[in-house]
Order: sequence, then C-alpha cells, then structure tokens
Amino acid sequence: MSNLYFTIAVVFFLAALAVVLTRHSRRLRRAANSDWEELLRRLEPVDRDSIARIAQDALGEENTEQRFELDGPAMSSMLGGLEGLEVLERNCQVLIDLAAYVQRWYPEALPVAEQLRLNARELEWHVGRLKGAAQTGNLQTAFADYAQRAVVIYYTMAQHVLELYTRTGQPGLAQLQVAL
Amino acid sequence: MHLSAIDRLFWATGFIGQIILVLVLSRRGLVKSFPIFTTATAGSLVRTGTMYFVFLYGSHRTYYYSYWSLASLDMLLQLGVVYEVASHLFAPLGRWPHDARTSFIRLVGISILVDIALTALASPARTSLMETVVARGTFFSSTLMTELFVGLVALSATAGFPWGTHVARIAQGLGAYSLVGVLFDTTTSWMGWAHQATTIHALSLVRIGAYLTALTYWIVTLWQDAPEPRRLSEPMRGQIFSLNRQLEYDLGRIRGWRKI
Repeated sequence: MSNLYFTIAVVFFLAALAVVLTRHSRRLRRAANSDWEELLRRLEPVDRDSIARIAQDALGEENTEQRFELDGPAMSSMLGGLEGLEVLERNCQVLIDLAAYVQRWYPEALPVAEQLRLNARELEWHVGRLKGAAQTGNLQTAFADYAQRAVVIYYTMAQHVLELYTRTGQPGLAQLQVAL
Repeated sequence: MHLSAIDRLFWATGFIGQIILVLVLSRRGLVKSFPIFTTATAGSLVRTGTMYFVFLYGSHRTYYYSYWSLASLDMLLQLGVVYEVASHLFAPLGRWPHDARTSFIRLVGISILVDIALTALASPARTSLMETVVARGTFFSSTLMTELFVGLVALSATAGFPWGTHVARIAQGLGAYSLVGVLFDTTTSWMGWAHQATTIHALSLVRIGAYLTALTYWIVTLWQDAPEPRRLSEPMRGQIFSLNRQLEYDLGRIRGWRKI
C-alpha cells in the first residue's frame, strides 16, 4: 500500500515538473529564438504621453510645488486603471528580453540587464500591492502612490533600454523608439 | 560474479565514451570553463574502471562499499555541476546578482525538502538493508538532480537569463538522464531482487542506455563551437558602466521618494 502512495506522489511530482518545464522552456525558447521584429510585436501599445506625464510629475525638480500634482483618480483614468498597469507589467518582461537580446551578443552588458530585472521586480511588487488593494476595496486610495511608482519605474526602464541600444550601436533603434 | 556480453558491452562503451568526453573537453579548451564537469567526467571514468574490477574480483561487501563511496562522491560532483551550470547562467561575469543567488539557494533548499519527503515515502521491496539503502539513495540523487534542472530552467526563464550554448547542452544531458533515473527507481521500487531480478536488470540496462545517450550527446555538442560573443570597446564599456550607475541611482530615488 505504501508503495502505491509513493508511486502516486512521484506521478504528481513528475507531472508538476513537466508542467513547469514545458511552460518555462517555451518561454526560454521564445526568448532565445525571438528575432527583433518578434520582440517588438510583443510590446503592447501604451499611452506614452500619459506615462511620461505621470513620470514627470514625480521626477520633477525636488522640493517644488509642481511635483505630485496628479491624484489617484486622474492617474487611474490616464492609465486605464489596473488593466493599464498590467499592460506595463507585461511590457516590462519584454524590456528584460530586449536587454537579454543585447546581452546575447555582448555578455558584458549583463549588469544593465540585471538592474532592469530588479526594476521589473519592483514594478511587479507595486502592481501586486494594487491588486491586493483592489480585492479589499482600497484601490482608489492606494492607486496614487503605488501606480505612480510603477509608472516611473516603467518609464525609466524604457529610457534605459533605449540608451542601452544607443550605446551598443544595435540596429533597429528607430523602431524601438516608436514601439516604446 | 557473472557479467553477460551486453553488460560488458555497456561497461566498455561507457568507459570509452567517458575517455572521449574528457578528450573533447580538453581539446576544445572547455576544461577551464567547466572544471567541475570535467572533474565529474574524469571521476566517472575512474569509477567505471574501478567498479569493473571490483565487480569481477571483489566480494559483495567490497562491491557495496566501493559502489557507495564512489557513488556518493559522484553525487557531490553532480551537485557541483549544477552549481557550475547555475554560475554560468546567473553570474557569467563572476558576480552573482543578489536576487539570483537568493532564488538559487531557495531552489536547492526546497528541492532537498521535497526529496526527503519523497524518499521517506518510498519503501522499496528489497530484502536486505543494503539493497534498501541503495534503492533510496539512488532515488534521492536522481530526483534532486531532475528537480534542480527544472528549477534552473524556470529561474532563468522567469528572470530573463539567456543560456549559453555549452551550458545548455550540459544541463540538458544531465537533466534528461536524471529523469530516466527517477522513472527507473520508481518502477523498480515495486520489485524485489529475489523474484524480479531479470526485470530489474533489463530496466537497469535502459538506464545505462540513457547515460550512454547523454554521453554521446555531450561528446557531439561540446565538440561544436559556441557562437563567439562580441567584445565591448573601452568607451562602450564605460558607457554601459555609467548607464548601470544611473539605473541604480534611479531605482534608489524611486524607492526613497516621499510625497510632498
């Protein structure tokens, strides 16, 4: 009987490993075989002007009256609510893949890819907090702080990926500028 | 003790394959990049040779102790190979990113806990303590290696670390062989040597066949050249460094800001 439990446990264990392996291998393969066009296609459209406006609202000169003028509802309508932030979250993954794409040819660009990854994790964390707030009905109050931080991170990540491509002289910079 | 013709063939093929793999690693200049993998291969070579003679001329007891001392060493080296693969993957420039190191340590910890639980559940149908220890030990080792391999794939995919050509081949070979090991140990845990020795022996040949396939895969793929990475010029390296500093600064600023 105990052998039966053992076999069932191993079957579940192997099935779980197979699911994890299949899902992540697909993603790895996609990242490794993605050509430039494919990576750009994965970027979902965002309202760049709104993102820049929200980011500039936080990144403006310190100790000035002009900083943090936007409130939660204004940002929410500019971004399209939580769904809009989820788009940024997905685009972050593409930004990491774009950095990894450069790293494939220039392994020395690794530190930048690392920093971008940390930024993306931070953004995921903020979006996660907002999802939690949405479940408890506190989305509006939490939106201003977490959403603005997430947008600033996305904005700076996008700027840095553009800079990385400029500095390493990668082709396709113009297309990237349009996509971001 | 008796060895059939196919046993001898498999033993000899493994021995020759291991010699070829060591030669490939040294001729292609991969010893410096993969010192632990090279040591593990050389260790397997010594083990194969030693065990052949111990099997032919030694007692059951000598065989058991030699097998387990060398198998334990082999398992430690395999864990070393996993660490080497992870280092190539997460720290190609020599420095481990903090988040990747934490994730890797967590992966190893969780894998060991899951394996202890699974191994504790196993109750192989063996007659002696010696056989039971062998069955549990090999199962633990195969399961751990399989789990670590899948964990590395998941970690690298989630965090966006690209796999180098040779690292990927080493990991794939090891992962696939370990998986066959898990299947073998699970299947044979129902069987006892007293009544189903022939079936266990036949299945063990399948396992050795899987190892020989992995060996051939390594020989062929590691002989091939990996794409040469491009080098950054000095000014470009400086620019990348300053971009990295800027990124760190921006992240710190975002973390630290307070609303007026």
